[in-house]
Amino acid sequence: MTESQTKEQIQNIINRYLLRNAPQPAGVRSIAESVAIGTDIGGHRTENQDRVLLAYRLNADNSETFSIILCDGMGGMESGAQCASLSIAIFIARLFFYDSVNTTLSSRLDFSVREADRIVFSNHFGKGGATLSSVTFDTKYGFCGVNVGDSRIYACEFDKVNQLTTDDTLAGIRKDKTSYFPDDKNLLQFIGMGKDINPHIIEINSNDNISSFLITSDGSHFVGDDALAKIVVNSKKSETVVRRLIELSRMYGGSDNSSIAFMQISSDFKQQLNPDRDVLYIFTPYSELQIVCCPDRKIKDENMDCKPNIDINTQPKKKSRKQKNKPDKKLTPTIEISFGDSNG
Amino acid sequence: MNTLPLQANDIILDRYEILKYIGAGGMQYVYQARDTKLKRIVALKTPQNASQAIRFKQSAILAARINHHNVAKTFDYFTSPENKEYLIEEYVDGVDLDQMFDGKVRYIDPYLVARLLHYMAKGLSASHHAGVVHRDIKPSNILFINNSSGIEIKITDFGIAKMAESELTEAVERDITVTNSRTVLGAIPFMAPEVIDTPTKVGKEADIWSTGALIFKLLTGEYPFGTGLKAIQNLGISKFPEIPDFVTKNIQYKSIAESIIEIMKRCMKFEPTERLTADELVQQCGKLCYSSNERFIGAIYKSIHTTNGLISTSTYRDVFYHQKNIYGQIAAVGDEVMYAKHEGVPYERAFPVVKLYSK
Repeated sequence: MTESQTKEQIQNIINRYLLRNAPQPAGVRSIAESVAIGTDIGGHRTENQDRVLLAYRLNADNSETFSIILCDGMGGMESGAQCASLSIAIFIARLFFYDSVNTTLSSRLDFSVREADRIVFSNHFGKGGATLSSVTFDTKYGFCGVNVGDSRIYACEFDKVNQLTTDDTLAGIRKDKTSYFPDDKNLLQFIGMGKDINPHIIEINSNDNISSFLITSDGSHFVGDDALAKIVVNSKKSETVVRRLIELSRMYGGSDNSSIAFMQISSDFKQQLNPDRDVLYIFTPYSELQIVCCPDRKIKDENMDCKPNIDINTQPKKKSRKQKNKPDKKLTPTIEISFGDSNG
Repeated sequence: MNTLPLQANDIILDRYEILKYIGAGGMQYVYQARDTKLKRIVALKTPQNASQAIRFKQSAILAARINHHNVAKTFDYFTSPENKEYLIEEYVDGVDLDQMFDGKVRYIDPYLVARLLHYMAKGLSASHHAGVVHRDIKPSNILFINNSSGIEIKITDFGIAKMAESELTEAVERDITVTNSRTVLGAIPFMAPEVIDTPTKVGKEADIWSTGALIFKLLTGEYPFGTGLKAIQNLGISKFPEIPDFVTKNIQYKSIAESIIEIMKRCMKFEPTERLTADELVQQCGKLCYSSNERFIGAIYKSIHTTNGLISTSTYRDVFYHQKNIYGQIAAVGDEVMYAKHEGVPYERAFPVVKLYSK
């Protein structure tokens, strides 16, 4: 199996996992206490087309890569949920399984978004798409963000919240941020447009006084920056931030799907999760997926005894001792997937 | 997924019988209907939801002010007893330019471009004389008719039109349930710079810019500044885009293409006051020399020599073409082409000829 086939396989597994019907009630989940993710269908929509998750991997060299990612499938066009799921799956497969260790994080983010755009376009021909926002950490490069569309990334400090992204709308790029025409809040670019996409890379200086990052879909941040900032500043726990913002969105009418990811910069996943090396962990508001990566592609290719189990209804599995004691090597074909359900 | 509000055979106000659904454009559903009193086919439009009714009504009132052959005529506007809004418009049996480009057509020959430009200029001139600024000139709002009577265009959808003298002072708030985060990609490549920078000052000049940008697309197959966010970033550079070489390369099209480019540049001045007015645009187009021949679609099926051959047609008569008659990329045996034809012996002669592309 080639590396590109491996990436595609991982992408397909994540995509199918995310396409499982999300439960209708709001789902909020705390991961390792420092990260919380949540999503809610809202009061008017018949389908939740947002996808939000935390992806985590402890690499073979003991370095870490983790990313909070939010995709808002575009309603009004075709297959909003499918586009959001596919976008996020491609993004993760490219971001976490890259070819050269010397590729900078910002280049990987840029490439991953462009690949997501290319593939979503080839599947939906520009008639469907999604926004994509992510804050990613890599031990070597620190934090970096990427954004396409009108979902937002905020940097939270002790007593204030700053929007790091500019909405890709006419209103968003105007100085007064105002809509003068009916279409001024419609998107200028999205994942799946297929041409001329320009991912916004957000370089984050480690010297800034940032304590946490917040990503919101437009169904969440429409409540206004002031209300949003007050909730963030006055909530002690990550989970509280997410729960309160979802509740507020509901109180304000809940006219759209509302999704949020909140991550404290001091997140210590190694300590909290006790993760296995070379396992890709995907945490959604409702459940989690683990993709165990094969340390030695050649052997596994020959034996062919490690085909991925892609039955998404599989009950949670216990990892075997053999997998837990994998040698620390690069290369990453999938060999086993396990699912754990959470009551959110 | 929205369900359609009307079905075939529905009768509206005891007068309009729905024949078929045509499509959803901008803020409305469009149907083909029969006016049972006047015995004619009409286009019946109804807003996609109640919150768009005000804008819908405004567009009907403004469009009704304009009476010109190149603007789709508004016949009637009414609210049904069920409180539904309806607009009755002239039915145009054609395709919009967006549909044309979404199909096999990548660009069209300069003679046809000149003709479309002239018609658009006349329609805009009538609109501007009636005091109406369209503000949304783009391919999907231009209907293209190509039949044995010749070629016509109609400007349609005055959904965000306004009176030229009125000030745009109030911000438009988006109802998030209405727009569903749809994109604005279709309009962006044709949007005048002032729509982005100084939206309160958008006037007639914006329609002229959009017409110039649309002509760029028709002539070259490319968007003048790209699409999406990139188009806006490129607009900020304030530099007229490069014209692809093929546009002026062929001597048979060079003269007309250069004249169109000149007009286009005067439409797309970054300073609105420096642009042509609609009347001046009509005047400039009057100097262009073009034929009014219908365009046909056929396939090259036979080479006579390496540089010429025959196009099969829907009639029994083949049409002769020469490679020098082709605008843009050269077509070969098996390729579909769009062409006009002229008398000739033993075969009719094709000119202009443009290669079509597979979808």
